[in-house]
Amino acid sequence: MRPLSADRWLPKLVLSPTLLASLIFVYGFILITIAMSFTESRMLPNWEWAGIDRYVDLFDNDRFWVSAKNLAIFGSLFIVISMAVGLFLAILLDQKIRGEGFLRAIYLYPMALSFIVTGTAWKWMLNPGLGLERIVQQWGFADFTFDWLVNPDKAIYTVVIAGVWQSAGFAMALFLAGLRGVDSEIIKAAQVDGATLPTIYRRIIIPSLRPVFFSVALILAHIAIKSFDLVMALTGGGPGTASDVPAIFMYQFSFSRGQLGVGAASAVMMLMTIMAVMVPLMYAEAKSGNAR
Amino acid sequence: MNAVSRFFLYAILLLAALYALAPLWVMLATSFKSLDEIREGSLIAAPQAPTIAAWGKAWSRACTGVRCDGLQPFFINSLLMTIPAVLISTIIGALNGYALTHWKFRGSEVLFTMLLLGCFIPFQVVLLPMARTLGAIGFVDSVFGLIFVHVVYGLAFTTLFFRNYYIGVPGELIKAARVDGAGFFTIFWRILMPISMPIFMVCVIWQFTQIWNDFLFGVVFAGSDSQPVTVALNNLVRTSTGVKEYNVDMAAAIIAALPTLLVYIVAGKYFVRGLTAGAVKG
Amino acid sequence: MASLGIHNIRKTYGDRAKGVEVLKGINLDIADGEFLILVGGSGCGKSTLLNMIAGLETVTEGEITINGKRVNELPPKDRDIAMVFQSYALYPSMNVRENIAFGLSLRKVPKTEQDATIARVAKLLQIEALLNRKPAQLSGGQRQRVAMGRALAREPQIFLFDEPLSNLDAKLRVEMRSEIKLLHKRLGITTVYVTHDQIEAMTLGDKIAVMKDGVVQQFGTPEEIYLQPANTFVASFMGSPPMNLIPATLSVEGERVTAHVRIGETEAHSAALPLNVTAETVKQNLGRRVLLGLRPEHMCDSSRTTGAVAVEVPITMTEITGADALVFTKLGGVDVVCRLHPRSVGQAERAQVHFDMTHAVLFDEASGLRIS
Ligand SMILES: Nc1ncnc2c1ncn2[C@@H]1O[C@H](COP(=O)(O)OP(=O)(O)OP(=O)(O)O)[C@@H](O)[C@H]1O
Ligand SMILES: [Mg+2]
Repeated sequence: MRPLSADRWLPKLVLSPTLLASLIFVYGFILITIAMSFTESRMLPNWEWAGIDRYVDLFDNDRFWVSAKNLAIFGSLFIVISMAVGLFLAILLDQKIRGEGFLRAIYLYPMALSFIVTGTAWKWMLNPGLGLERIVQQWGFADFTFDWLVNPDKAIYTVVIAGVWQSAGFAMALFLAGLRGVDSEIIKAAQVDGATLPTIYRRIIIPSLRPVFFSVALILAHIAIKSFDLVMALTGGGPGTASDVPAIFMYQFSFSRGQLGVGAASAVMMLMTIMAVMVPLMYAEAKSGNAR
Repeated sequence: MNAVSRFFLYAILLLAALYALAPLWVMLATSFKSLDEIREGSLIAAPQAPTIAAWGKAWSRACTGVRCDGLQPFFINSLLMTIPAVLISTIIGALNGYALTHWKFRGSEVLFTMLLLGCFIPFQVVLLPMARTLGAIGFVDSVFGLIFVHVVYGLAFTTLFFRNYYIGVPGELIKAARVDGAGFFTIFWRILMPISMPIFMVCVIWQFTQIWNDFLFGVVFAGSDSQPVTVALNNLVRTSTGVKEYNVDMAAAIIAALPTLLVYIVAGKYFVRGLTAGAVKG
Repeated sequence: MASLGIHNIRKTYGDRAKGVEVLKGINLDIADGEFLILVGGSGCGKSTLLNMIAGLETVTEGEITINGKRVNELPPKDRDIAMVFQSYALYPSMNVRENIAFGLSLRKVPKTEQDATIARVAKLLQIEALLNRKPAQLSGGQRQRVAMGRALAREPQIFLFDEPLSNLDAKLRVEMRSEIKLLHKRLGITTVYVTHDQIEAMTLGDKIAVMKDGVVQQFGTPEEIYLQPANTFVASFMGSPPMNLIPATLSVEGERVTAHVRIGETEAHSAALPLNVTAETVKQNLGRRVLLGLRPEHMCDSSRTTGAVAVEVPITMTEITGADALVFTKLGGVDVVCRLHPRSVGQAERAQVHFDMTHAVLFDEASGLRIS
């Protein structure tokens, strides 16, 4: 046999570093983390088998449950509100608005910021002493209080406020692109049929945005579960551990408290959560995609 | 639509715009105020006696943990880390996307699905082994470690961007070039590159914001001298020596945000297009 | 100059065991300088076969030879072929001139020679005024001509054309068709040409291969394909309107074999049509139903034929196409088209049709294969 022509092996050669990286640094490392979650590792990895002890530690830890609950609150509110605001703004912007490009740019710019910057800014604005609270008081509402940032029961909601501020514009951009992609002939046909604008949106346009809803939900869920920087900058997980999320829990146990095993176990739980959210979403989307 | 409802429409849109802009305004206003003015005045009032003292301090004198030379060294770290990481991950992603769409081979679809899943993992699940690996190869305490990490975990996204773009390029185009005598790289350079500018812009901007804004990898993998600006900013805000200097915090936050804001202002159109092209289709 | 051999070619997309077999054992031999036409329904594998000849798709099984040498493993650039693609495939970032020059420059043709070639091709295809435009600024027909130009700029061993004229308007198509014919005469380059157009197939080809579902149904000269179709698929695929396939029964009357065809729908009587075959060849089919194949132009007026059998048939519908009147009737229970002169039809309900039985062919009703 003559030697294979270069074009036969070049594509594989080009892809091989990525394949290798993915195999080692994604799949391999996930396996190592899973393995580590079943060991006695503390300050340093210690490959002594510990069975499910680390998971027992994890589930016995109140702080973990606080962080899980916070993630549930933050995640659901963040996703729902960002999507609702995003869709609302997108529909409004879709009404042949003058200065649309300008408004769109304003709504979207927070997306360019780091969550650390967002957190820092909102922390300053929400701080009870000199921030929002005082402005409202200066406006004449002398007993207005807004102390969510330092209130253990409310701190997690400040994360929602800042998170929505940052991501709603992004949802808006995706929805707007989706709205623009809807076949204008369908809309014309509906108008000829006598449908009003709200009906057209409710019955025709929004249902056809299904894939966009899917993408937006997927991306926001992803941001929510990974949420680390925003909480770090805004509340630092506090007061106390009141606004802890799993990402912070994992970070602190792994890197400050020398509990690698528990850190690994919590990372595995995060992975499982993401899979529990993504897999049904993707499955549903793939199925409806096939049906279409 | 009648005039009244159009009025409300614009009113709502303008209010939303004000809300979106408010934090930026507050940050800017605060950064130009003196501490006294901050304490006396209102959060949203414009500075009465603007001063750039806070900016100077944030840039070169503020304490970020033990060091007290401002954000400057970390800002440079971020540049040194972001630029190579963006370029490398974009170029590899482009070649990957090209190979995966127009040079399919047995297993290439599986490979793509495998890469795609890499977009969705929470990075926490690779932090521990990566920290040890970087330690073992001596990449800790240098920007190389961070460049490496950002390239490795950015590839899934860059590959996805380019794959989704190149899948729209008709296969017969590549076939025609092959019949004309062009090989793998010639086709990439001569045929695909000239039509890839939109997606390159998209990918570069996306990667730039992602990597510049990253905090997790920075805080976990960087030594105290190789920290990126986001980590330094967080340290600066948390380091309190006596009075809390909100004006310095805000100036520092804007400094840390400046490059991505600039990129966004200059090339925001592509940014929007990119988010939609990459995300909606993917 | 090259001969092309295609031997037992099979193609399966995807997994060999699970995938779909698109080509199922193709055998074709094209001599040096011959012009082969590939025809067949959409999705039957014509483009796939061209791609394999070009080296753009791997060969699952079988062998492709150029000048008797196996080329299965040879990459496209070393096969010395030029190809026109179904979708033009013009490089969008290059203008017309650069599109045409691309293959030349990769083959290190000197610049002056390139310019001369481009000028020649542009003149031939009337695209001189378009040389500096980008493909996006061209109409469909102009793009197709540029795609032709790109192939014609090189003088390869083999030309591959995948429906190169399908998007041109009727007039340009006729012009281009004769250009291609002249060009082939002049250069004598071996050519494989896919088309859906009957006239292109009949006028351009030295040989025609009719394909269906990845199998070659018949491979022969245009005349053979037209007059002696190997089976009912070929008979009804080639020609427009296609060959009539009329259910008939055979009997032997003395030395002559006769086909009996029921006329109309309600009428009891049938026509007896003498055939020009020996009793020996059809003896297995005597008394059984067969399909009698007759082209519309062989069911015509007395003025257009001699020595034919005249039968009076009822008219169900008439279409005047200009030169002809297509008269629809029922024979053997199926719709049949006859090609008469418009003057001989008028408003009549019945027509006198002359059956030119020298051109009649017989097919087995079950298998569809020609009986001969
Ligand atoms: N890359 C591929 N993977 C799987 N199946 C394919 C692929 N390319 C083509 N096919 C299938 O192979 C069959 C033959 O395709 P091909 O393009 O050769 O048809 P064709 O004869 O050129 O049709 P047309 O006249 O419409 O151009 C079709 O059923 C098609 O769906
Ligand atoms: Mg085809």
